[in-house]
Amino acid sequence: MTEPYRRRIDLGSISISRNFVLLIVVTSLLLAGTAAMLTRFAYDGTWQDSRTGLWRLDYRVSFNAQREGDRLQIWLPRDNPHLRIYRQMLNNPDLVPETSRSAIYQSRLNLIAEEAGEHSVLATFEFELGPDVRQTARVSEPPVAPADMPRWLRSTRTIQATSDIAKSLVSEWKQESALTPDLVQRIFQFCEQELEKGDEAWQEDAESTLRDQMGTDMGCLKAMVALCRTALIGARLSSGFEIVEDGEIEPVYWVEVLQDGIWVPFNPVHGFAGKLPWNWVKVGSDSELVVSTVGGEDVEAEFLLTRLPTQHSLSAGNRHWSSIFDLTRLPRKVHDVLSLMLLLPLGAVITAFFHTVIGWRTVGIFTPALIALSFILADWRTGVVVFALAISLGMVTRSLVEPLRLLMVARLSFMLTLVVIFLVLTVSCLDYFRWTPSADAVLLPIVILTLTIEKIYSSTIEEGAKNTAYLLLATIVVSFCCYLLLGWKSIGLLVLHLPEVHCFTLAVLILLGRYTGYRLTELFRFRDLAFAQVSTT
Amino acid sequence: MLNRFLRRFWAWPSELQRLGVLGMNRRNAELVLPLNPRANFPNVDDKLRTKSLCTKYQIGVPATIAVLNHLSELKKLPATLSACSEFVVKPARGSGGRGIIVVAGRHGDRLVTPSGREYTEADLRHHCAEIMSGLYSLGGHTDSVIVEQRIVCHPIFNRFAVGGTPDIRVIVYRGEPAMAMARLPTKASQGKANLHQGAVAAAIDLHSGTAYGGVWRNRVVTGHPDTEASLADLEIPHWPQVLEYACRLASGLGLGYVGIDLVIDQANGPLVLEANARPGLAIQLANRQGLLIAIQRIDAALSRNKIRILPNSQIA
Repeated sequence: MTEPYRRRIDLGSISISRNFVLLIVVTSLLLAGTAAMLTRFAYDGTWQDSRTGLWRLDYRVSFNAQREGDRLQIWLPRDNPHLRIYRQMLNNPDLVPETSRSAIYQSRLNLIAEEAGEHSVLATFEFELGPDVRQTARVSEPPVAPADMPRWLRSTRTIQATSDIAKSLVSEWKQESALTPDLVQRIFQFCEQELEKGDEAWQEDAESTLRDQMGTDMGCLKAMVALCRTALIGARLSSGFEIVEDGEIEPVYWVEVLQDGIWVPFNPVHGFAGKLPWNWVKVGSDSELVVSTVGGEDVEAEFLLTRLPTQHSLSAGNRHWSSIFDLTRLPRKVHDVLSLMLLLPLGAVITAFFHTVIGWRTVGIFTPALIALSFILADWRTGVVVFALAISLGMVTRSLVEPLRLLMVARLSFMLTLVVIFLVLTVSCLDYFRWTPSADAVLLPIVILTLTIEKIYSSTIEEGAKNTAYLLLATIVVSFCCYLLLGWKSIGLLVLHLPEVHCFTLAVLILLGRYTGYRLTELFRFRDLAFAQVSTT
Repeated sequence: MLNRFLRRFWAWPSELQRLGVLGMNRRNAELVLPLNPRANFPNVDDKLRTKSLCTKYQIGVPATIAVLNHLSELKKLPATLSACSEFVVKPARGSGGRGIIVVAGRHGDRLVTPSGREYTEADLRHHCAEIMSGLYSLGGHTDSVIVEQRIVCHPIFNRFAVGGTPDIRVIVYRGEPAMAMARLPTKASQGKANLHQGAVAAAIDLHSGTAYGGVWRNRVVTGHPDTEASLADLEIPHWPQVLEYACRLASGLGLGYVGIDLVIDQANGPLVLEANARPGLAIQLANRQGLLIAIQRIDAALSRNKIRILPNSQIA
């Protein structure tokens, strides 16, 4: 029998059997990943959208009632085809609720102060949001009564429907087509394309916006309402919230135009017409303010959005083993950690790519990915400065420690202690000088940092400063690439929703592991061989 | 024109492929992984095991003066070394020449290295303790200290080595020598036979054992940069024995692709220093030839059951 070390290896090409096994494994992984994603998609069509699911919206409102009877008016969300409110709470001490008599204002809550003074209200809504949450939505708003029409055609202080400029524009467009849909479309196009939007300092009323052809976002919306009303088409401003991610949110606004007895949404600022995005939750109609007061003053409102665990985790009866693969069911605060954990393999792919294809060595195999991760968790600018300082001080200290002739374990522990002290002092200094809001900015991986210092120091001694500089540079570049990828929010969301994409990651790693071509650095290293050959021939 | 300009900075993969240049990825995937069983790696990583195998296969190695496995044994070190004025202290599982101290003599109660650096016995004990703590070992594991005879370099190398001992690297593939080079210390390398640090790599003809050119800092040289001795005049003494030792050790180690490092001692001839299961690729630069060509030649020869590479059928 041939001894193992004398086995023949066909260097001309990878053997067919090995290639076949490789092909089978890689194909299996790709198929498994694709099948898992398709299954998830078939099981829950909303997998791809982090906006779907359960949310909580908190209103925190305060106002100062001047006298008894002053009112606080709050527009509240209502059920619609994309939203189902399953729980709502109102905490309004010292305020008496009053139901609105008008159908128009049925979603507006009026709270009457029983005495003068500071009052606060906490309203909480828990709702389910999705493209098709309610298959059969009840009509939440009654048809417009003819008696109400003057209200939707009126001219106000900031929506000047009788201004000359509005009249002139509308009469010009009416000559093109007097049909209501065409006219509305023309008005929308004008407001979307010809009005310059954005600057907070610009005009916010309709007439000035139309005259200057520029205005704030609100100015453009009001201009559209004014133009519609000038054309005798009912129109109003509506307000609501865009449900995207956790945190404090601001109201969003759009225009609703009355067409065939139905309010049709338009937004020349965000560029949608005819249909409200499903994650826009309507609260107010014919109002610029979600919260306002009659009689009172100093109204302050804060709106807080929180993502809730999904229904699966809320109800034990609905639990199914397949929900194990649904990471989004976990509490929102765990999402970021899970997302970063799931991104780490992608950092490993980058590192493997640089090692195998580019041919760059780094300080430790996964050090770049871990450093990048720490910068993601922290403020990267402060992180970079602290990292550079820690390495520099570490190097100086390491050289000072050398004459002490400490044994390795004790020396590494010594350095670890110094690194910890340095980082803790840095946290304190940053806080003292108010350079960063939290200590997260310096939460670098302490052990990695200690080993990096040791590795750089020994590399400097053994391989010289030049080689160490290359090593450090390569580590920084790879870390930066990892940072770019790991900090990419969309990718983080993708791996959280579809952890099975790591089947593809595994396939890529296998292919990288079987890459037997030259590294880019070898094309440089062996260039003389090729050049000598060419010169000789 | 542009092509010539670009070629100054890199070679195209097709050119390297044509020259049979072995890349790192291919070395790992197609030579090291399939030919070097992981279980046999300790044979090369642990110099004590390598030495033991050398002894078993009657291959010359530097004589071992002492082996220290525990810190408590350090007390006996001065007594053990009292009769020795020249010796080498090295870690059993070291790599890249780290942690090696060569003692060339004594100055009073101090130990003196060839470069003139002095150590007290306390310094030496501390160094040994560092070795044992794993400072120089692969993976940082605890280690043993080997104290062995100092090599007295063969005089033929006097003109080709400055400040240190040259060594010879033989790449052995499937039990047959594939390529060889001598690493000659220079002033720049501070006596070390490390190519990165400025040693000269002289290509050695496998048939004759004579040098036929060299590379110093990636530049082709014909002579030693310090002594200006022509490399073509370098003929490795005991060359057949060098190859015999290399091949015999490779089979003893159970590794199909291995680099064997030897030195030529004035009194004892070729002695194996260590073996490397992942030998570097710089030998191709020294030989100005790709390893794949040599490997394919060996494959072809072995398939014909005919080995023509070794001189005078020295291999049994």
